[in-house]
Amino acid sequence: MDEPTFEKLADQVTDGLNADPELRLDVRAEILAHLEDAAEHADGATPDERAAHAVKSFGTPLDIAGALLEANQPRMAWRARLRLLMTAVLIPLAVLVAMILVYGRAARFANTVRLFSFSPWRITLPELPGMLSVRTHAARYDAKHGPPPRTREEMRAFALRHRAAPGGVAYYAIYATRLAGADAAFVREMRLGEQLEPDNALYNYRLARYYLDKGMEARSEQHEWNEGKRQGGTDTLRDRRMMALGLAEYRNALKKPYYDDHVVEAEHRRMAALPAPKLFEDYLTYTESFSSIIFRHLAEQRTLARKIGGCARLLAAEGRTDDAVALVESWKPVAVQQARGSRTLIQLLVAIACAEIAAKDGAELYDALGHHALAAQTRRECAAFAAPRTRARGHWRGGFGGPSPAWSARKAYLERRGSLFTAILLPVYDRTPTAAELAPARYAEYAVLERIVLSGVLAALASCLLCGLILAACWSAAARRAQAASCLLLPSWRALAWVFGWGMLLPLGLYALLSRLPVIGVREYGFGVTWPAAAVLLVALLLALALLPYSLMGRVVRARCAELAVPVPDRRTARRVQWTAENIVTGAGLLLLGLVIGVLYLGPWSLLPAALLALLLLLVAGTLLRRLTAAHRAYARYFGTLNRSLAPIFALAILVLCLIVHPYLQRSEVRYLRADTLLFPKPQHGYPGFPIEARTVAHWKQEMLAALDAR
Amino acid sequence: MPFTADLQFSPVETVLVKLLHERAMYGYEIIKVVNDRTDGAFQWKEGTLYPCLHRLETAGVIAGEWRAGAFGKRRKYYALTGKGAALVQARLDEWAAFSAAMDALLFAPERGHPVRA
Repeated sequence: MDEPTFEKLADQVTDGLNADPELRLDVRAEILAHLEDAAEHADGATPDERAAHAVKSFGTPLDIAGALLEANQPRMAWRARLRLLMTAVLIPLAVLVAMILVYGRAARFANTVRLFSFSPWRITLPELPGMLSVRTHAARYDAKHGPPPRTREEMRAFALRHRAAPGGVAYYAIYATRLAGADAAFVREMRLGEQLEPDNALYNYRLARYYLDKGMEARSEQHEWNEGKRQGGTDTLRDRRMMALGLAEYRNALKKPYYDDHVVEAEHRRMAALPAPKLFEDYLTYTESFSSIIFRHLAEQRTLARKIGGCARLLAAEGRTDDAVALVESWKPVAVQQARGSRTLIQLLVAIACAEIAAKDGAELYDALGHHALAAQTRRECAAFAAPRTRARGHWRGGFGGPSPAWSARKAYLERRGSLFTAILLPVYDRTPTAAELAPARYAEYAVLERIVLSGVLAALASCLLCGLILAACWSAAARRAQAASCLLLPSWRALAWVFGWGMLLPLGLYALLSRLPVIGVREYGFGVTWPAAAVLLVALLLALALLPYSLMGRVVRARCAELAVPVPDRRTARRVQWTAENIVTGAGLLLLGLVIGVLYLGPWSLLPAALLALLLLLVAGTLLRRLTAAHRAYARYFGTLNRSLAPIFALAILVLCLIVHPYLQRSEVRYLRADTLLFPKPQHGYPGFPIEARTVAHWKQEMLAALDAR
Repeated sequence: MPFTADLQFSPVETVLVKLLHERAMYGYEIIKVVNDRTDGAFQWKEGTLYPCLHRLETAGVIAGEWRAGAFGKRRKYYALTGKGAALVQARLDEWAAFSAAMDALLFAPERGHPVRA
């Protein structure tokens, strides 16, 4: 009697445990070890006799099989439930959560970034409920309350319908600023605006520009966009009556108490109708929206300033010197009116630019008329009016020689203590924020960065999980072909916890600790400064998450296979085969993803060719995998168990990241963005552009008005 | 004192709990120890031992672990879990009470019929 007899006996005894192949292997190995021990210590002259004695004293196989089945039945039942829980609940749940979170956030972010002209992304992705971008919220708001007015008639009707509301005149002002001069009803509509808001100079300025466009052209208009060739050109009179009408409107505007284009107010109303911004992309949307509307008709004011200079020269040429002088002197009340009406820095800058154009034309006229003292005074007053801008420009750059040391130092400070955004946006403001003010922007940037990286990690883990499940299925099929029964092993809870702890929680914990420690962490300074350290930490984390679980689970499965006498490949072969299989699945997955993106870009016509290509791709990948698994069929249990055992690890990691880490990062982002007082318009501030801008505008305005003695 | 049903028919579980409380053992070793300590009076068979071990393992009283023994031979060792360790004294007390009851039943003189000398 020899070992095959022992194996036959062990098979008979464990026959009842067939429903749980791993448990059967475990009990079988235990019985074999027992029989070997018994044979070693049994009486008998030869090994055969001892073995026969061991078998004889073992008992009746049928009775033992029944007793073993009865003893193990509860265990088999809960192991079956555990397998079901893993394969039918935990893993699909993890994949679903990861896909929702990764895709939902990616779609939200991509649709937001798509708003910007510099973005290469041109596809609008469907967004998921509960993760809608501000853009989609706005579309839904429009769908509920009716679409926003787009045509002239719609805008007019909308403005008139709401004019009775508090501040409703803003709607008509926006309509008026968007109405083109070529419109047949232009004059009538401006007159209506004047009636609605009699003290606002806006409508008279628009009418002045309208009539002057028809009446004349200033020489500076001809080289408005050609900074290098300021000289030359002539002032042209087209229609005297129209010019007179234009100048009359201009004088009417000067008499009005204020000038307000209402763009800030209108934008405030638009933003107030949308949900309050929470995350970085929301703030980005609001900033973009604000910037896009603020520039709308500022260029028109500059053209009007050029035309007024042209008109003064034309009047002087006709000998109407007093009228010409009165016209050039008007730059001061216009500048005061515009400065008072400005609520953003860009409006103030345009007021300065208009004043400089008009004052320069005026000074030249005074010189031509021989009033050199008046010319010098005009230049002095204008310089005083533009002083905040000139001083700031000195900070920003040192002429054509490149950035000034002061500007560079400020930018470096903002980069070091603030964020990438503060370094881009804040050097233009003349107040340097303190480190405490900059801290929220810096922390928010890290939170945003980590959220983006987390999405990448989730996508990678979900891919690993899917890849593992596909490979486990392939190896299981190979094992079934080889042994007529698939038997992938089920690692113990302890083994799973060990791999999860060392392979997932440890790298994540170390990353969290290292990145946040004040001394060696990277958050002490802005990301622009510490990005190499941050990048090293992130790459280390990603490598650890990608490699550690495989390595640790490989050890666990190898040990388990040794216990159950399941053949295992040598480590080199194991690495090579696993690597090849992963590459086949990952490569096919990436190509399929490429096909999907291609279809989204190219449109429905590409669906059929893409489907055929996808089918071909799946066939090739399937064949390659089948060949690989067939060539290493003897180790199918090892590879299958390795890949399937990693699935719950990845699933658990995904759930921990989605349900604990992601909400934590999101809360941090919301908290820091809310605490930030420098960047991004905030509802509580009434969206006056950047919060720091409000202080700069107030400071500049005070100085500019004092220069013209108009405080 | 009420006894667990199996105690009245078989003391195997109590013996196993007590033995494994002393140290971790594998199946064949347990049989040897039982046979040695009882001078061969108890000849435990595999059909008795392994189902009982597996039942205790399923109940979480003991835990099996594959370990390499002498000469690298791998065997499944069983050891008491925390739950099992908490059970030892209760099982021994139960056995003592059971044993006393059995003694009283089998060897005490019948009431009203004094044992003759």
